[in-house]
Amino acid sequence: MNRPLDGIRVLDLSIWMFGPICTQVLGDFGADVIKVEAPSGEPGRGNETHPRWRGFSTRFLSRNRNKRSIAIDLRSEAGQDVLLRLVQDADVVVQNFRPGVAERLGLDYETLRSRNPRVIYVAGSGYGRTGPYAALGGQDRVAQAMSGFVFGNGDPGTKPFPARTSIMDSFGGMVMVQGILLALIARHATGVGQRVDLSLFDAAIFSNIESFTTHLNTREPVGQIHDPLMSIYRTADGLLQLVMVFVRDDNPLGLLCRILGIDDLSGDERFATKQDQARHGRELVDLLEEAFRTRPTGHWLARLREHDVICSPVYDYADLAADPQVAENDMIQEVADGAGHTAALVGQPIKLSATPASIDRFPPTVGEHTDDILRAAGFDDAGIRELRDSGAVR
Amino acid sequence: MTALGGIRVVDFSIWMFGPAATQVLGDFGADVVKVEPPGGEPGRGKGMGHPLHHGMSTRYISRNRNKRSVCVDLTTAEGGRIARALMAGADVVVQNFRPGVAERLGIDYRSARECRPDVIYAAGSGYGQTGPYAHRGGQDRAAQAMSGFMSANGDPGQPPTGARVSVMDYLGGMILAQGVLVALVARLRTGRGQRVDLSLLDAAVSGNTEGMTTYLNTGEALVQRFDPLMRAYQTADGALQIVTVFAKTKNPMKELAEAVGRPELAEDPRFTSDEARATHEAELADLLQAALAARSTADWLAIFDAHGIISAPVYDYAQVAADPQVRHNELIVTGEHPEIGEVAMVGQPLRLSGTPSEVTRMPPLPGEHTDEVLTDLGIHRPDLARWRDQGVIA
Repeated sequence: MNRPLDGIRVLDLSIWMFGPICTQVLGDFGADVIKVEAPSGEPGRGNETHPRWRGFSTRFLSRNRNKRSIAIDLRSEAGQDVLLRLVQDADVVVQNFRPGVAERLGLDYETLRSRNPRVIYVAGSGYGRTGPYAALGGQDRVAQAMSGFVFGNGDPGTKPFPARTSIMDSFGGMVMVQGILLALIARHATGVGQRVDLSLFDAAIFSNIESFTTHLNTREPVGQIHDPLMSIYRTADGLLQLVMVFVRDDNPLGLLCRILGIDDLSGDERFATKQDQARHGRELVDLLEEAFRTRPTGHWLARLREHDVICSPVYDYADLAADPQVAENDMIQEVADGAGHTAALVGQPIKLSATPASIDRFPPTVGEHTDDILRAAGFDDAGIRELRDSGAVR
Repeated sequence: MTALGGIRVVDFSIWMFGPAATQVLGDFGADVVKVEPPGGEPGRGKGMGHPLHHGMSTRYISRNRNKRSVCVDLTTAEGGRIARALMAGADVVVQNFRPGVAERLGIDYRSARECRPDVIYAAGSGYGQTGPYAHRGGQDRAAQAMSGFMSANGDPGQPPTGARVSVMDYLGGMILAQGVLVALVARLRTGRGQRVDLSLLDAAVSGNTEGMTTYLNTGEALVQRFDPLMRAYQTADGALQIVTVFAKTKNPMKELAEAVGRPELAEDPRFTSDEARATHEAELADLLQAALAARSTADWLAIFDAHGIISAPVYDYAQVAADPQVRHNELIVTGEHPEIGEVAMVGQPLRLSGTPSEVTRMPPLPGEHTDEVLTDLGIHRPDLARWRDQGVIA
């Protein structure tokens, strides 16, 4: 065995990002992920508004490697029969439709379990299977907004902003992977599968666990604040993120002033304590930035690191792609499509010493593996042709 | 029955990245033994101005339930022996020190494997075990800054801004937990342990996989935008996030313009096409802001819902706590700690039907379980007393 999930068969009905980003991790570690799509392709393949590479949405590319695609019309009876045949050999079934859709398609847990008691059934939802919002569609920005993630972003007095990156979809996908792995481990002992539920809303709240736990136990306001020792500063040639949180100095502001070569602002009564620094945050940030602006980012990074102060440049994606540590960590991998054109994909961050991840399959075209999968499931050529002609598969 | 019942985790990890990961393992039944220096690990926030609940840092509370605490001075010879005895009984060892520290403390992978040949050894780092930044300390904001996550946050013309929530530490923790679970699955199948490495930088980069993959294959960067159709707006009594991306209409701009009572905006040549809107997005954001300021968040939620446009309130934590779906999902759990009293915690977002999570232990005081754990290792009371006097344990 080369990869930890070799031989695990995943039937992946999921769409957009939350589900597909989860099943991609399973594929990275060797699972045989069969992406079941509508004959028109899943909606996450995007439209002309998505940035594109050789006809593929790059967003789709980012979350669908290491999968095979079979296109099935699940609204047709023949299509549903095909799917139930595939379920018999599946270890895991993943879907993230709105609650009720799977039931309507005859793909609810009870139906699938009656076919295959070992199956692990994974349902991602926007808000939960039941409850006041169960019928609503979830989405990354909504999860950001309703989890408390957004309101603290930005300086006091400015409008809070959501992150431009779909961070909650990513986060939810990663938590969902945990759920599947836990159920696989449990199945080893019990011999039966189970149902795994996760809502994007709950996952997003979980990502706020630190601040939300503070709120719950202290009612201390957690929101926009000035924290000059954790701020971003403009330098002579760019930006610098200062992180003076782990400093072994009783007076971090004094240390910072020494490094910047300016008068010790910690002697100023406006900035004497952490609370004072927050209260007069705008003034303090301005005073410090005046000093930061005299020299380039590289100069300050080196000086701060001499004092073991954590700090970093603020990268855009071009900077990130050029970074030597990113290269060292194999976080960008060139992968070829069937025609030999290579696209760059983001590597797997988990490095396993004995059973590492690998990228073996380029993100598939719609129905690229329909025939292979059907043949392996016992359909003969005539049967496959019939399914194709009727539109049940593509 | 729990998914990880009988799995013993020896957890040397500190701050947030490691503890967030091991808490998930504890939630699903693993016996997590938190090994801390006498006085407690730094993430307890002593003297750091953390918000406190009956003397315990709420940040610490948020990530240390379902663990037992043992305080051992690993720099002493006896402390080293205790560490080896603990590792001999460990299925999983977790640490997130800077590279080199575990070696110095005698708790590196080689030492752990000598104690327990099939151990799963998880090492979290800031940037990787090797490479140009390996020796540097990592931190959430630095990972936000260097992964490209920050660069596009905030309105055009504003400095890029980080999220206030330590989202990369938490995302990293979730991926580290995945790594441990993947290795546990592999061990069930091969009988062998292995080393699991994850850097916070790589976790953060993988959290940006969509934008990064787009950049790598098209050169199109994620940049700051006003993004009027996906923006958070101030209402008469709060803030509202609009999400038109899934609107079931060919022309979301028309639907949005009608919803806000300004149908003429959809005919305005500045806003009729994606390209035109991109050029005039600041003006459109201003016009929509003026319209949205006229009514309450609740009014707008109903109006947008009627127009098939997803929208969501921007919640602060008090609103999250009061939300009926959060209540329904039982995402806030409380427990009673014998010394610090009632503690509120954020529950597990993952629901497993057969082997659900449980909160069985409150976040421990430093060394709360030292005697219990060491007695189980076969260490006798006189030794415990002597070591306590010598400061080896606490």
